[in-house]
Amino acid sequence: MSLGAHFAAGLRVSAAILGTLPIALLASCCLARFLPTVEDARFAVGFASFIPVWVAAMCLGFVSRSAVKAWLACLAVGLGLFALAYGVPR
Amino acid sequence: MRFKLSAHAFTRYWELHAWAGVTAGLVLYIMFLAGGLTLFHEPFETWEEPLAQTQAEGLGLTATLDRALTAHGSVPEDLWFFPAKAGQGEPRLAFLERGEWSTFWFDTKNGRLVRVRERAAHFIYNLHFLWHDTTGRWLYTLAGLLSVCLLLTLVTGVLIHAKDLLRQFHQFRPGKSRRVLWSDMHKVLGVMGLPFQIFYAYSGAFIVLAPLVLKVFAGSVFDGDQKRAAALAWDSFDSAGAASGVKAEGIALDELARRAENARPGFVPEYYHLLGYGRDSGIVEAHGSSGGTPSSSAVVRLREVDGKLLVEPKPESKSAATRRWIVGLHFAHFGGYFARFLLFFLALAGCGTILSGNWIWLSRRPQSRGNEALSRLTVGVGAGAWLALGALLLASRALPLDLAWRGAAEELTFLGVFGGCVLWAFIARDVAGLWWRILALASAVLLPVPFLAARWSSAGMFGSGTRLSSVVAVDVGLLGTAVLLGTIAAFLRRRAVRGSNTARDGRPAWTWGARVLACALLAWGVLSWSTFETGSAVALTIAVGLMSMNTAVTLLAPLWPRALWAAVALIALAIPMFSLAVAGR
Repeated sequence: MSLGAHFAAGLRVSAAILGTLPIALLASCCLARFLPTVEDARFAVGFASFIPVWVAAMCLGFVSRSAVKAWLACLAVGLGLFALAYGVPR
Repeated sequence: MRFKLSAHAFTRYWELHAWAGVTAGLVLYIMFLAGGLTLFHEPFETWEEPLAQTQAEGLGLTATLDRALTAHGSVPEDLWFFPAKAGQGEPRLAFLERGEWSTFWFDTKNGRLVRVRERAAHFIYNLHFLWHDTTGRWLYTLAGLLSVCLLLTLVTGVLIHAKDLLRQFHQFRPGKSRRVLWSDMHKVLGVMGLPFQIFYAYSGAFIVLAPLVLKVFAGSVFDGDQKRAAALAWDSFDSAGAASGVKAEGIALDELARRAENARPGFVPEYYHLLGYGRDSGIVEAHGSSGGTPSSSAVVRLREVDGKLLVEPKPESKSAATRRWIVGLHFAHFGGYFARFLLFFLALAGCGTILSGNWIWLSRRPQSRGNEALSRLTVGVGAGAWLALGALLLASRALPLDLAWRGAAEELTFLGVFGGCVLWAFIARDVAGLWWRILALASAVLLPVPFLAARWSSAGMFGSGTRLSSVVAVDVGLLGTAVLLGTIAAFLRRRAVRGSNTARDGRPAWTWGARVLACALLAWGVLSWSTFETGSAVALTIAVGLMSMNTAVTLLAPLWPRALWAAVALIALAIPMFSLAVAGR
């Protein structure tokens, strides 16, 4: 395996592990903000789900074939979720 | 329709499962082992300290606390008071001393405070989540991240075996090659313990990481209001100013405990957090439980000066209730000792899954320096943990009870022996032979512990005084473990000498031991089911019961498949039905 391939694999793995963490947190925040139920219940669901969401996102991230695509996907989804979590009023 | 991954996804998940398991496995092995032992933390704490074994004087809470505070010479602003439990043991106090928390026994007979001197049980408890005062939070956080890694390993394991998960549930071929044996063992133990391992990985990660990510939720969900987020997440209570008042005569602690009992149906206070005790602003928090269910732990807060409830009993937030349930399940606050033993065996099964995972890796991969190191580390950690635990307990009983540095000596003994085993594994010529050597040493080190325990305690198996069931039980457990480790070592040695891994009937002899154990567990589970607490614990006890059922199915199936399947299926059906009947009682 060449140095470039090692680097690409490292980037892909880091996207799957690190790139998905903000996605999981922001997705859980969105659940806690927008689930159609009372604040107490939606916060409970959102707060308890950040770990399963992170694991699910990692599983998706690991099947990516390209490091660049993986990071771009993380960035795009992360930005979208950030806008939802912080920009959209409830 | 059968679930099948694409070839690309299968390869990726297979690699991820293997790498994540191999990278985090041996630390998780230690966490599983220490966690399994921590299920018996209370008996261990009683066993190790003679002051926990005395007959309580029955003076009442207020009189006992006042005597203890007189012995201390002052009233700490922030004080924890642990009275005798069920009339047994001396009370304890914990408070800040020069910026650090210190815990003391109150020796009621001599009227003096004795600094907590024995830390073996506490060390094993902390080892479970990689906490030590000297290393602080970063290793603890790492433990949380390793739990996420375990969860990822479990999910990928399920994904790669989803197409034939049912077969992996029972396929066990001990008569075949060693590689097949490790593979079957890994899958059977993994699938059998799956609900247990998934829940413990999730709850462990949640307990550690949830406080760290709360700030993110506070920013997004509560517009930056940290206090409101904390109040919803944990039902936290702001006790600032509790110690700012002037000295005043308050309601006696016995009366406050009675009021706390009346405030919640079925609530039994166990210990107290006293803030500004003896002042007009003082707050008393009664901590206790209201039954044997995972969500039974509770706190009742009262104002000391007039005994008024500070927070009316309102329904707690759903998030706090969820967390309390998760923590209650993780700490096994349900099902009594039956559930604890089952969880202990499942924790050991988790250890077996991790070790067999490493052996599969080693048998499938070409020889390399990295794999050689992994092979040696697996022996050093896998067997060395038992020897280090044995050495810790031996040091605990051999060192003088009042030795000032006995806690540090015990911990250094553990670390020294553990490090020595890893080093031994790296320099040994015969790595395979190291298993029986280290396990034999662990057995030899553990064997004298119950005898030495009689030096400090007369309540144990070899003591001359009134015996206490928890102390005798720990002695018996240690003797049993020593004998078991010795037997395993003898078996492994014989196998190494003969160069064979099978017994006369073509199956390793240890599978018969496992079968007997599974049957005993099964019988015990059936017999003791009717004594279980009902309510929310029932769902989990059903799951645990079914897992033990599967142990039997898995190990007995090769003997007489069809009839056994039918019989066990009938019993498996009967137990949840019966427990549901109990739940509806």
